[in-house]
Amino acid sequence: MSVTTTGTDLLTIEGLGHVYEGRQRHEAIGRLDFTVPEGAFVSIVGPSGCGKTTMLRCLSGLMKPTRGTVYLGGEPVTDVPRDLALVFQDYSRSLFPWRTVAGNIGFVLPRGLPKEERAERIRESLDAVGLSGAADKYPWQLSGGMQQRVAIARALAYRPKILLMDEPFASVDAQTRAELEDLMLDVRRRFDMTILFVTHDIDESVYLADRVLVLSKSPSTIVTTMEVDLPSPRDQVATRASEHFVQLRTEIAEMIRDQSTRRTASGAGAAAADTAP
Amino acid sequence: MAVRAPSSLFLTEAVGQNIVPSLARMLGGWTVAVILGVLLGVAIGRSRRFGDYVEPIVHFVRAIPPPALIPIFLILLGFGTEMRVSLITFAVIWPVLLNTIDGVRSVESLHLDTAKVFEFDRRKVFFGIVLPSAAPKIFAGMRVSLSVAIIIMVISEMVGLPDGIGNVILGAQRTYRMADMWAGILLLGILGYVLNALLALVETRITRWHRGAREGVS
Ligand SMILES: Nc1ncnc2c1ncn2[C@@H]1O[C@H](COP(=O)(O)OP(=O)(O)O)[C@@H](O)[C@H]1O
Ligand SMILES: [Mg+2]
Repeated sequence: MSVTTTGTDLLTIEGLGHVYEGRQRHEAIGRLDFTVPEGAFVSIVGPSGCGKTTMLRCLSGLMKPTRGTVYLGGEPVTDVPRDLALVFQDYSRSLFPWRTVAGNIGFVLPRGLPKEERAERIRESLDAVGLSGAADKYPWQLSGGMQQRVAIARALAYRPKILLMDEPFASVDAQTRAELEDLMLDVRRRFDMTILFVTHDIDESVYLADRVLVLSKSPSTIVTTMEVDLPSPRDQVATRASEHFVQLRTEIAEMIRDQSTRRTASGAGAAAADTAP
Repeated sequence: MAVRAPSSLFLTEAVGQNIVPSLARMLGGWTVAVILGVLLGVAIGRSRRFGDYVEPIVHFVRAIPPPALIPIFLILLGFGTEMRVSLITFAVIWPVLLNTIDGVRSVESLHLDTAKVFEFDRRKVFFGIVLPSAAPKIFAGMRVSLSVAIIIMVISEMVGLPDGIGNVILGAQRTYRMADMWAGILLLGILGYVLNALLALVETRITRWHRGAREGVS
C-alpha cells in the first residue's frame, strides 16, 4: 500500500529543535524537518530518551520548541489546535479516575453538543475500540490494555483530523499489543484520520505505517525516511512473515545500529540504543 | 444526695436552650471555615504570586493557639454568638486551607495536559479537574476541622454569656452535679461521633473513586 493521501501535507515541521535549559542543559532534539501528508499513517521510531515525547509535545502545542516551527494545515501551531488530539504513553495518568469510561469520553466533547449526538459519539467510539460493555465502569476497574482503549476512544470521539500517539502500547502485553495495533489500522480506515505514531519498536513501526521516520539518539535528527509499501490489509502473522517486511525491518535495524556505533565511536553517545527487539 | 436525673436537663427545655445553639454555632463556624478555607486555598494554590505573598502569613497565624486569642475576641466581638462563631472559624480554617492548597497543587500534570489537548476552558478545568483531584484532601481537612470545632465550641462556651453545652458542663461541675456533668461529656462524645460519621458518609460517596483508584483492580 502506498501512502493513501490527497497529496497535501497536513502537518509540516520545519527546523524543529529543543533544548531543556536548567542546571543540566540537555539538547533533546537536534533538528527535525518532515511532513505528514493528509490521510497518512506515519510512524516515528527511535530509542528511549531520544526526544520522541518532547517532539510530540512541541507538535501538539503543549510546549514551545526552542527552534523551528510546526504548521498544521498551513497555520503555525502556537496553542493546541482543535483538529489535533494526543494519546499519551501513560494512559493510567491521563484518564480521569473520578469519571466512568463513558464519562471520560463525554467530558472531552464540546458543551454545546446535543444530548443524542453526545450519546451517539460515546457509543460509536466505544464500539470502535471494542469496549461497548464497559461504559459504566471506572478506568481503575479495567486492565492496562482496556484503559489504553478508553484513551483511544476518547480521542476518537473528539474527531480530530490528526491523531498523535506517544508509544501507546509500550506497557501492555504482547498479545494485547497485537490486538491494539490491528485496532489502530481499523480505526484509521473507519474514521479516515491522519495518524502520527511514535514507538521504540521497529517491527511495530513497519507493521502499522505507510512511512517510517527513523530518529537518532539525542540530540535527535532523522536518520532515514522509509516508504512502507506492504500490501493492505495487514495481518499479524502473514505480514510479519513476509519477505518484504523482514527486509524493511532489517534495513531499519541496521541503520540504527550503524548510527549508534558511529556515534559511540566518536564519543557522542554512551548507552546502546534499545530499539532492537 | 441532690442529684437530678440528667435526662430532665438535656431532653427538656435544655435542648432548645443549650444544645441547639451550641450545635448551630459549631456547624456555622465550621461551614464558614470550610467555604473560606477552600476559596482561599484555591487562590493560594493556583496563583504562585498570591501564594508567595500570603503563605508565610498563613503559617504564622495558624501557629497561634486559638484559646490564647479568647481575650481579644471577647473585646472585639463581645460575649455571645459572634465571638464564639468567629473563634471556631478561626481555629478550624487551617486544616481545610492547608489541605486545599496541597490538593490543588498536586493535580496530576497529565490531567492538565489532557485538558489542553481537548480545549477545556478555565471553568471546566477548575470544576472538572482541579476540584475533584483535590476533593480527597479537602475532605480530610474538613474532618480534622470538625473535631477541632467541637473542642473550640466547648472552650468558647466556658467564657462569656452562660449558654451552650460547654457552659452546662462547667456549671454542673462547679455545683457538684456530677451526673449532669457526665451527661454533658457523654453528649459531646456522641455528637462528635455522629457528626464525623455523617461527614464520612458524604466523603465516601463523593470520593469513592479515590479509594478504588488507589487500591487498583488489575
Ligand atoms: N522537563 C525536562 N527537563 C529536562 N530534561 C528533560 C525533560 N524532559 C525530558 N528531558 C530529557 O530529554 C530527553 C528526551 O526525553 P523524551 O522526549 O521523554 O524522550 P523519549 O520520549 O524519546 O523517551 C531525555 O534525555 C530526558 O531526560
Ligand atoms: Mg517518551
